[in-house]
Amino acid sequence: MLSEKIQKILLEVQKPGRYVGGELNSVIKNKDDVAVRYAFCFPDTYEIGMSHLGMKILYSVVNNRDDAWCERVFAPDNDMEEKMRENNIPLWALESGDSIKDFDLIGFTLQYELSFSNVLNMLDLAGVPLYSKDRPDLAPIVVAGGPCACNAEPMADFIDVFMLGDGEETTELLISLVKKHKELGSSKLDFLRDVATRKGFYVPAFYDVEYNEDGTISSVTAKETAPEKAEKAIVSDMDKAVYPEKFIVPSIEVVHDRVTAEIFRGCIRGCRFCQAGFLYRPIREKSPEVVEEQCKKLCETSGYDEISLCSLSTSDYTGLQPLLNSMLDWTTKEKINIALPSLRVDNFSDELMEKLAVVRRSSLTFAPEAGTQRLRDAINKNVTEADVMSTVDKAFAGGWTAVKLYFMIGLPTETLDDVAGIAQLGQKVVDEFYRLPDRPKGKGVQVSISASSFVPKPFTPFQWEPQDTQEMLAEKQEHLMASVTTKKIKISTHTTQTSFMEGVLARGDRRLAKVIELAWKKGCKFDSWDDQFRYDKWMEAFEEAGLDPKFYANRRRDFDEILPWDHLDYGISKKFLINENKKAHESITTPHCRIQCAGCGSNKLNGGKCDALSKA
Amino acid sequence: MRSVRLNFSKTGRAIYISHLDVNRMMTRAVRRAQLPMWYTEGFNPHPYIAFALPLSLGQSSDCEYMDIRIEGDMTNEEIMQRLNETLPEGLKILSVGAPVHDAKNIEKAQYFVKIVFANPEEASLFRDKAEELLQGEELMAEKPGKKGHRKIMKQVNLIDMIFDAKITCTDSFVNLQCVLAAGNTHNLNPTLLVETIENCVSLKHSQLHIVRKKIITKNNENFC
Repeated sequence: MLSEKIQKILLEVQKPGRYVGGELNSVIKNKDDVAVRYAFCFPDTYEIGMSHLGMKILYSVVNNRDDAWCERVFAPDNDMEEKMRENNIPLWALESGDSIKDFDLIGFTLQYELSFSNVLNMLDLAGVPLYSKDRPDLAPIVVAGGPCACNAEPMADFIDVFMLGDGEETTELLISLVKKHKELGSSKLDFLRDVATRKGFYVPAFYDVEYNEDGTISSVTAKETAPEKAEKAIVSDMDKAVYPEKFIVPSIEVVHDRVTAEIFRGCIRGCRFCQAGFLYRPIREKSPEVVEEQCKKLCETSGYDEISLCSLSTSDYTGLQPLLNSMLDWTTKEKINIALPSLRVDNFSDELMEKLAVVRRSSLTFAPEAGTQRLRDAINKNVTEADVMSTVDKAFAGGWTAVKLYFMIGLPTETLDDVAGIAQLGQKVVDEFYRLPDRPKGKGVQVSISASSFVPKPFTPFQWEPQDTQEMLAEKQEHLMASVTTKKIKISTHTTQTSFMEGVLARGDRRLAKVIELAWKKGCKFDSWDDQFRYDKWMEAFEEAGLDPKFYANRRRDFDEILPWDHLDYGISKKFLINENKKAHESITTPHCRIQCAGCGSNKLNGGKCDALSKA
Repeated sequence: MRSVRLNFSKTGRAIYISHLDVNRMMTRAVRRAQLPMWYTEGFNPHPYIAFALPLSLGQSSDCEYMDIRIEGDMTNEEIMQRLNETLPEGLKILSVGAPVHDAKNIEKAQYFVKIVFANPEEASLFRDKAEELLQGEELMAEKPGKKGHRKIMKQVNLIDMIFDAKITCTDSFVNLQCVLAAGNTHNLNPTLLVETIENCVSLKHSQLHIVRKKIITKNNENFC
């Protein structure tokens, strides 16, 4: 229960419901009955963290065990942080209200690079030393996972153990190992030596990194028990993977407040800019029967009236039609809406659209990603203008009058003509609306174009590419605005400064730890919030650390350079990535994995199995 | 289709949930309880749920009221049992029945207020000042109000909105039992009353616990 001290400050902050716990389906245990206490930390606010599916899954994995208790922790907002520091209240976990510095495990999920400063701030608020080397004891062990663990190097000095890949089985193993070593009375080093030998774990302290004079890496050497390459873990059978029977139902409004069903992991498409499309390979589908059963159960236990069928490319799910047919029987009756995020324009069918509009009409979003065919081929989006047009035709005929289109600017090989192509494609969509005889009457059309800035990421064919400089991005943004001639098109873009910082951290090395610490000391946190991002403070931190951010963001790497993440193995072969990069520069596409296996190598992680091949 | 009025309490961790969020929680609770709800018609069908009088964030209450419309013949007892099985910590249905009063006829509400001060001297200073002020004709305070569509601060006389108030003091605590104007036309939040009195003697409480005990109609009947 919450201490008197905490209760006293709750009414002095905005939205105190974020800090009290007690939500439906949250798990309360007796701390004396469990061997391992785990603080699962999401380094952003409650509203964002509670929308995250991974946390819900891992919360179940741990709490399904009798010997462990997983509790949730989020980054307190600024007003709360001020009150906590003023009253000497260390960061607490929502379920018990206990301070997390006494927990056995503190785990962070790294969903985006710009949350790194929040990790430091939360450790500090908890009263836990920031650097791994300053925490000599077996408890607390600080672990981190999530997509950004694939290049964990900028955070390597702060985190004891990274968890690579799917977390279901590694979390289970982690809890068992912590329990075992607690019972044995092991030292932290003994524990790390054990963990480092297990698949899916990466102990950064067991790797020595040397640098050349030009700042590039000369060698990475494994020591102690660490393997030369730390391999990511995968769940081999999605039907058997742990999935929650209950979601915690937040008492206050959060960003994604609904049942989320994961229908498959991985992606068949191989878009060259997309990190998720490579990180989550190989393809593993969940069978429609299992998805439906899980959805039913979750709706019953949560009371939600919306289900999101979630994946990297939902219309590529082989079981989508039978799943929707079967689910609509009961969802319609119970006034439950089904949302399908991540649809593609090349397989959006009439039947699919009809099913989307059964209970409530949600918005339609498509992602052509680039404005011209040449550039779409270069990034391997494999979508044509005709695909876009036929999809919006169907949408307009089906009664939609607003569509959202996602694009990126700053893609490799992009020219100003490609940028203008975004506006032209938008214009064609507008024209298409007025050309249609059966368009919705009495309403205008609204095309919302979101043009984000491309950030090259590790484990993609573009991992060697220079990111466009801020000046180049700004010029392209202006060119895009100038190319639009109608009010029916709305354009939104990202600030170039945040994209630049994201780019630096995404492909950074271990030396950035100093920069992150300095920036945090200068007050940087919530960097992904435009209103809180302090570019000037970050630049000061680079200056003081004697490092050049452009070295990380805007430099082209040679194919034979040792990259900071080369000692991590995500199953994708470097040869494949190099080949894809070369094809991009020649605008040659690679067919998706169901047409022909591109040989990325990731099926080795699953004993040679990949559902893109077996379920073609 | 019939209307049903549910009386519920809001205590513990639930007091930090805003009125709007309680509304959303209840919408989900009736779904989980699988009550045969009557749905509104139109583009966005949703179950009909209406609340009598919003409660401020941070206050507890034994007298929250929510009206729902149900189809079919589920008994009041079953409605209550099903909901209580699925409501989160701090929300509890106390009784279920047919609505008697119209929410338009709500005039006032009774509150038990416990004010915690740093020491007994501050507490008795507050009590003495409060007793003096409440005897008087006028206790002015600023309240947010509207002039047309514009939001403005207005001066209001709190005395006009106090029907009854009893103050006692033990150690560092002050207990205030009061009946204050409540509803759409005039509404006095006990927090405003306490802080206005405090400002007159430059005091600031260290904790404030407010419980709404009753909602009362123009005819001096307990709202139900």
